[in-house]
Amino acid sequence: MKDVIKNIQNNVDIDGIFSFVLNNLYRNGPVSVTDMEILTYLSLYRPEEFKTHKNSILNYMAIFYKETERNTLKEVVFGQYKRYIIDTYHKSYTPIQADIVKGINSNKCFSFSAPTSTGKSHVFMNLIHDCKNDIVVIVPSRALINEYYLRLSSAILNKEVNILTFIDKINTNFATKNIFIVTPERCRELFRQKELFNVDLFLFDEAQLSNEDSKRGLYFDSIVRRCYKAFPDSKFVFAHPFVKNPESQIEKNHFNRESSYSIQYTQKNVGQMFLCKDENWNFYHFGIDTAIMGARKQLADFDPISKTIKNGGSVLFYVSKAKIYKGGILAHFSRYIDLCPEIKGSKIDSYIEQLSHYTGGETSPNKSHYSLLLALLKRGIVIHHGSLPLQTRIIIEEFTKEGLCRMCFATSTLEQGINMPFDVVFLDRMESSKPLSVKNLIGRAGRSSIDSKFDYGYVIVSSPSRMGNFRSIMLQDEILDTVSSLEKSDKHDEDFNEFKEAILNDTYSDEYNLSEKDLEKLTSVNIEKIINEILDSLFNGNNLISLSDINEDNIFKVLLYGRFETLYSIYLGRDLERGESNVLNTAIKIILWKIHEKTFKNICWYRYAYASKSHEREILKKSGMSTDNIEAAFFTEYSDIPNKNHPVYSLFPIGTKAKDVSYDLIMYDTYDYIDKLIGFKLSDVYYAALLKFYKKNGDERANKLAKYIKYGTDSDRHIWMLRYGLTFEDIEILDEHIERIGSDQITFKSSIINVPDIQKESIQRFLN
Amino acid sequence: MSGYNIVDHQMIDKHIIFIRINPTDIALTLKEVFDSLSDLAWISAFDGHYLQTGYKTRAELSIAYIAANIIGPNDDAVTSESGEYVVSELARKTVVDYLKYLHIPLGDLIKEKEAVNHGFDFFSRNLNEVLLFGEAKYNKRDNAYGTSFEQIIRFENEKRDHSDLIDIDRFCCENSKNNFSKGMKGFIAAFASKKTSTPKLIAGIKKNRHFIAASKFTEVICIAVNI
Repeated sequence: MKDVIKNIQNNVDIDGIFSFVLNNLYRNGPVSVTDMEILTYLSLYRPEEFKTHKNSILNYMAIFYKETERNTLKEVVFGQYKRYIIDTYHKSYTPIQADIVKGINSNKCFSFSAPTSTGKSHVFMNLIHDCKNDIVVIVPSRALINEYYLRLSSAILNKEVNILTFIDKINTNFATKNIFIVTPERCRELFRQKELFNVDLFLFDEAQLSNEDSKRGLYFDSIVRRCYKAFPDSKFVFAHPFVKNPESQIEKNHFNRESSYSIQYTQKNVGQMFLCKDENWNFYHFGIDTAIMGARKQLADFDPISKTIKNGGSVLFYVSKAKIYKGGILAHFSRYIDLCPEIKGSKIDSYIEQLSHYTGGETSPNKSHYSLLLALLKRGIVIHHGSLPLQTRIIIEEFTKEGLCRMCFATSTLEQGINMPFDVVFLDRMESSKPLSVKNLIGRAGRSSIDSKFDYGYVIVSSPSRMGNFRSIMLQDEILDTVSSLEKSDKHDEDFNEFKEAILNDTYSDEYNLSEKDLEKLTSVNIEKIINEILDSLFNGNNLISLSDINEDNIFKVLLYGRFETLYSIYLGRDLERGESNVLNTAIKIILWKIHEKTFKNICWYRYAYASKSHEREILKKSGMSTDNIEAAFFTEYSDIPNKNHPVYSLFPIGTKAKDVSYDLIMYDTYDYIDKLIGFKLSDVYYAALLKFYKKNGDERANKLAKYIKYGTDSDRHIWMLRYGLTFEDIEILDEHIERIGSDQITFKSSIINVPDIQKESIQRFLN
Repeated sequence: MSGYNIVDHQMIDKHIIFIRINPTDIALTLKEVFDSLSDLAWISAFDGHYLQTGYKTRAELSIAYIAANIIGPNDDAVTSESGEYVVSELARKTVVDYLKYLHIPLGDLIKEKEAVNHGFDFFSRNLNEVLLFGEAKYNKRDNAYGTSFEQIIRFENEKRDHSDLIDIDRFCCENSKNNFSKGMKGFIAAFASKKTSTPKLIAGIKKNRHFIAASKFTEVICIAVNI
């Protein structure tokens, strides 16, 4: 069999090609990329002939969630197996899904990998549902926490089940079982209260995180081991995409091999076709196995992207963050963006309103807070990257799931976010250094449906020169390390080494998320002196001073910021360089805004007003003068610190007009500060220093400030509400309807009946 | 248990054999085919537990249904196709057991990766080392020899016997392949026969133009299966 693409296009030997691929499919299953390519080409170019074989194809693929007939003995072979699965598992599982269930049921530790469209989430949902006791689901990102949370909340309506995104013991009067969905970092809370829980199952999804050569990878392994040690009788499940050696989890974390099992599933549920485009936007087919599919690319007489958009399908463009930030996507993909007029209707308006309410962005280009993100969303065009605020991502992902997304421009962070397929995946870039991420994105091409048809998707690379690289990625095996970083002797930077040492020596503090050495530094005499100064500056008696008090006296402000910086320097053990200092100063400013209960939107507005000199421009405008000559203010972009070599520069280069400052960029940057720097690093440091200080000296102001930094409030009542999963927005509405709240339950006032359902979503489970 | 009885054996010509058989246990024949097909399907290797615990009883039910319906009033696609498998398998067994020709499993069971167009249903090699290509036809109402011979001639014209050689290569000796390359080959027409008497059946076969065309080959075997 050779030149299959050309032959199918030219209607040559179609019977032979069908015979070849059906025979493979029957004997080997849908495991070969090439077989699935061939089926896709036959489906596209020979639809009439395909129709006559469709039933056999769907049967041989064993995608039993699709309705099929049994017209031949061979089909009966599969029909019989389908009946067996239903009789055994009481679900219409595919063989792979059934095997996952079997693997989990018959082993203490089960590690597997499977392509993107296997339907493992469906299995997990059922498994979690059926567990009698507590379950801990560990995922790498907060975006995935949210996805699990939403799915589980709608699947499990039983109010005796707590579904929580933190480890906590709450609602004890009613809850008989807890489902925790956490990141490895949040999972540490489990060990401080392990006697309170009876964990049946630990489910590590996207467990390839363990392979990251970073503190996170190290931490992941440490959490796996600690879970195993603390709950030796629990079941452990590890799920990965495309990984060749899922057994690595068993080996590297020393699970008992006799009660462990691992398997790589390669069966696919959808077909894929691979294309490249040239600079004139002509599209060409190419195959992965050149010996069978043909060595030369073949011209496709259609544009799969336009075709998909016009047919109501969806397209994912994998692009660089720079292309999104600098607006390159608009110029480069205008031919497709133009195919997407604004969508009318209340559904889309509601999404825009929610986003606008949260981000403060507006859709009209004449408005100062004009947000391209929102304006594009009105046309069904989604932008998705790692600096998108989580709340925004949640809304956008719901928007996408509801079928409103026509096109999505995404960076590789999508793999940890929207867990949904597209009809087309366009790879504008290809990072050979991240083959697993790229494969994960490729795996998104092709939407699996329950319709009785062969589902397939298109994967397009941006240039013919990338075909070779693409083929290598497709053919390359993804191997996870079988030795944990915890056991490797290679040295990283000091921070990493200290972290590793603390993990290995069991001196890492779960309470503070810091090592013993860090905590020692944060309780030094020098620190205490600085904390005293900070508290004296920020408090008037026992109350925080206002923001205007801070801002009206510049010298006072500089001194205050300086004290926060000094505290951080002592923790770090050195002075900060200029670049680092600029970043930290901006972060402190944001921390102070947050302490003073400024919302995300407020903070973005303040920062935008500063960068775009909006006040100054407004005055000039009012007096009829041009604002064209006003340049954007110097604006320190988020960067990870500590980093001695971080340069001093502005997010908006010299010469940027103030009026051209992008609101979106400020929004993304603000979120990066809040999420990556403050959330992941600074709040732990400041919280630990303040709480230690409080515990030693009994200064209530320190306790108060610590709570502000950790929770954004010092009210115990509100902290309880946060622990029950309410957001500050929920608290604003529901506080007045809550009689009492504690670890046992929430007692509501009778007035709760009058609150509309949509506003009660977060507490629905606790309404008894 | 063979699952059939020979009820007639005549020579139509010195190189043309006519055999008529009566199936005695359709379910048994079907089960053999079904088991072989199941063994080949990827799910059998994928789930060994199924073969041990879930396969047998379910297969018996499937077979019982199909067997009952081949000669019953229902005419769904599965049973018609099964009928063809029964005719194929019984004819194949007849040449192997009765004529002592070479055992080669059914075509569907031996196709390898490089198989191209769908070809003949079953194969054998006679005692003179001549390869035989068999085509089975099942028809619920009529004697099916016409369609069987028609397909033999068409497939021969389309050289499908040549492409089938790739699949059966491992069963063939060098001599038989040499004979084939010299044009020495034979065909087996297996077909469902109804209540027509053997003389009438043979008279009809002899008049068939595709049979006449097939007569030029080294050996021709007609196997009528009373089903």
